[in-house]
Amino acid sequence: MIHYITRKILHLIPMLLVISFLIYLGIELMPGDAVDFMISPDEMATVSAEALAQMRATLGLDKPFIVRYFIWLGNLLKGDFGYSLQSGVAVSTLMANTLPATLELSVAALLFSTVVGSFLGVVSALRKNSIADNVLSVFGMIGVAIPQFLFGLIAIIIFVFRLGWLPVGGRMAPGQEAFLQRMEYLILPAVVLGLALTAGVMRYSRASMLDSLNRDYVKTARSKGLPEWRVNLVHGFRVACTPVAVLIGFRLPMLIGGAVVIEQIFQWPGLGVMFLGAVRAQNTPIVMMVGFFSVLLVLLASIIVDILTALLDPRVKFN
Amino acid sequence: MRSASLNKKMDTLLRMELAGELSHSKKSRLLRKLHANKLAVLGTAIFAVILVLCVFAPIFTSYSSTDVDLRNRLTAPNSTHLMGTDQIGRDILSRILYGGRVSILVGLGSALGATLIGVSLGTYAGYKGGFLDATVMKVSELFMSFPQIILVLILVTITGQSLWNIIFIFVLTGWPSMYRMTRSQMLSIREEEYVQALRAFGINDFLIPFKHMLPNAIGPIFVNITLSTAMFILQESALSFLGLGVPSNVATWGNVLSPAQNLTILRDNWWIWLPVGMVLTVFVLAINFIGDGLRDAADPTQLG
Amino acid sequence: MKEAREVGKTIISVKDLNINFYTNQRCNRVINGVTFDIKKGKTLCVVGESGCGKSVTANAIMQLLPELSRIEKGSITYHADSGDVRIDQLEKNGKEMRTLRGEDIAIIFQDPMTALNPVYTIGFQINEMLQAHDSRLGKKAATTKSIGLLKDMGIPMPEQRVHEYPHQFSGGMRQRSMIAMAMACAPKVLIADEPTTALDVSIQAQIFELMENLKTQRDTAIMLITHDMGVVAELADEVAVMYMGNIVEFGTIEDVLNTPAHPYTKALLKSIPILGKGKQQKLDPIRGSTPDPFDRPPGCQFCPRCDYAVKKCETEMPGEEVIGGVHRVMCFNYREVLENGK
Repeated sequence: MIHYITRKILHLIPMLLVISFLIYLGIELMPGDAVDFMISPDEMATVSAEALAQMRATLGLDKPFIVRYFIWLGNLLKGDFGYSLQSGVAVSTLMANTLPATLELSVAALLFSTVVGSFLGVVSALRKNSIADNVLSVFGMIGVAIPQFLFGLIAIIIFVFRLGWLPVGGRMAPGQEAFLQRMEYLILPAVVLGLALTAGVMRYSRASMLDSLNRDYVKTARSKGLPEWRVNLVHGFRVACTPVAVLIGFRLPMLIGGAVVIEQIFQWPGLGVMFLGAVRAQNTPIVMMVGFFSVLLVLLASIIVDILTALLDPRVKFN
Repeated sequence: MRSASLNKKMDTLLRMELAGELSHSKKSRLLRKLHANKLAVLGTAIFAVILVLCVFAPIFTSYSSTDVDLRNRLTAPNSTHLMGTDQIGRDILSRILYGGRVSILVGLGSALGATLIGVSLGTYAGYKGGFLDATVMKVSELFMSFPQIILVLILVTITGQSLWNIIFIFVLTGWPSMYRMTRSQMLSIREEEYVQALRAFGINDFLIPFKHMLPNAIGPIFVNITLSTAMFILQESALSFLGLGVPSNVATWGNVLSPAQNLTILRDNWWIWLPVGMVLTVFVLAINFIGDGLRDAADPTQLG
Repeated sequence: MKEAREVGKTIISVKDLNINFYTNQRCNRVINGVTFDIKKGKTLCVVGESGCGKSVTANAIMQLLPELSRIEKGSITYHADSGDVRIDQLEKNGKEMRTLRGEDIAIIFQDPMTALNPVYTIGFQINEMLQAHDSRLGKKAATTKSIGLLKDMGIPMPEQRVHEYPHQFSGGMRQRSMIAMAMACAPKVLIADEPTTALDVSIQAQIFELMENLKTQRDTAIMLITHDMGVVAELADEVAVMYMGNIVEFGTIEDVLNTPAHPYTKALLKSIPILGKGKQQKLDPIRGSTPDPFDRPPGCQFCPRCDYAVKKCETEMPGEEVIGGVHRVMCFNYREVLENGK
């Protein structure tokens, strides 16, 4: 098992190096460089070309591309992610402030989708072709078709304005730290973010469950005189889990991407909102660092899913 | 025990079988397939209706999507403006219809572009294998390790916002999944005997994959085109909603929705966002129905 | 006091069983009036081509038929020590039926790789059987019992094997584990649905030896489903030959092997290639193929493929005729068949 995990992590490293290179390429391709951002457009007219060249030399901007890349990479590994072009605050600090919020939202959405999606999918499979099954199926189709942000807007209208049950926007009221108190802020964004994934998980777990229930081992379980609930749960559902876990792994990038939009709508102070602000302001360091870290998150998450799959299916480890 | 209704259904079937009413002729097979895929038929109908409405927009509305009329801002739906006006007086209905043209263009165009590149690469590289295949695989893995919207936004920051930039970016981020899918199809078809036979005959390396193998994979490819179209339409709408997609002077469904970010407008001016949202959702739903129908039609294992 | 051996006592009687399948919006009359008995300490072999309904009969006894199916007519009776139980009238997955499954009647399936759950250890799955029928049995005690069962079935190093997964076993060991699991609660009846079709011939012999021992040592009643006449010759005490949902011939092994009375039985016997006769031996396959269940011949179901068919066979399905003892046949011309055999 340790072997498996180490192998997977080692695999990551070349990929991350290439991605870091591409990210740096992206930084270079962005219009303007650090110097352009430090001097306002008005001043630009008055500054001489020589002065500009000297500023660039001081910042090391005149060195060849490869050298600059390695300097940047070195800084990255030391934890220096550069500075925001708007506020001058270290990107690492900004990220440390916003990452927990995004993780909280994403994990909540993931848990919600997995649990609710699997449950509804299994129920649909067990009550195949019943009214409940058809209704859930329709909800599933709508859930996949409706734009997430639209669903968010509708959710706000219903739960915030019409019913007044939940607060709008933000992660917590001033002074609230405890998780349970903050829950009411988390619920709506997490459910909305998880919507598409829930619909997907529901559909897939229904199919997976139906497939599993058709298999011989379910018949064997019944032939042993086991009660139906045990046949369905311990035998049917347990084997149906593995393909669903794999599906969730594939859909993780969408969850992280979706957080960008959902955070904006609900004003959730996470990486996504920071990222969007940076995109609008062409704040290169932030844009690129968040991009890099989103890839890191996706790759790490897929390793976790791989491990989970190996745990769920004993046939995998021995491959 | 067995439910009474199930028993009755069985009795009916028994009776009909004994009376010989249940044998199917070949003619009704097509009808049967259509009947089983009512959703796909419905989807096609909805798709066609919306498409016609948008393509022939001038017939259905006399306003343009960009005319500003500050005297008639935020008016609710009435007889002159069937869907009301937005915050700078533009007619919402015409924005929806003209905006549909752009959204559909972006969705379909990007899907076709991504398919063209992805399928070509997948067909050839999947067949040939070797260094080319390994390289393209690695490249596709790189692209796919980004959450798509983040990669798109990074590229938008670099290239700037314009309609064609967006389509280009979508194609660039979308080809890897088409490539992967085609490649896996090719890998399994490659093992078929007729491919070995063609190779033995010395048929050249382009004809075999493109002329002989590809037609057999066409089913899933079409399914993927429809589903990609749906995905790109949703993506464009999200981007434009945030103001980071197609520039706001061009109407798209996402752009029309954009003002709803303001909570006041969201609460008080439902006509700005609800109709567009519904059209968008229904259109994507229709495409999904068509895609599901195609998938069922192509899959011989799906039966009663 | 030792129990009197009850070899030959009928433990399950099936009378005039009719079963329909209602899948794909059609009605398929799979079993059309089947009657037989399973006796203690004896092996009943049910033999026939694919699709004749032999597995369905086995599943019916365990009430494991698919949802879209129904027992239209007839009865399945289990003669327990405490009295007769009408299995066909029990609720499908109700408490009574579930108690019977495993404790009184057990079944093993054709492919042990798919019949065993891949994500649980063999020990877990056998424990499940034990604990389902004895709620006081703890995990440790159950595992000890399971190890003993694996040992009885001839699996080496059972203490290790009990913690392993099905995919780590060989085919023969898997089937032995299935049998161990089935016999865990000492059922009186064992139904084996083509238990060796998925195994090598050499392993087949071992499995059959195992089953013979169960029969002789524990008086287990065995119902063995197979399509292989060779297996029948080896193991059967009584034989039921099935075709298109009917038992076209029934008798003791001597009856059926030496004096087959149905053209189908005769043809089956003739079509077995003989080991040692070499590649040049003339194979005698049965001409034609099994009819489409939805497009059945109007009269006798075997008529289109039969060498003894006469006009009557085309329009009328023969009823059952008793030849002698338990030997019975569904054929108008059985006397001719018997004559030909002499």
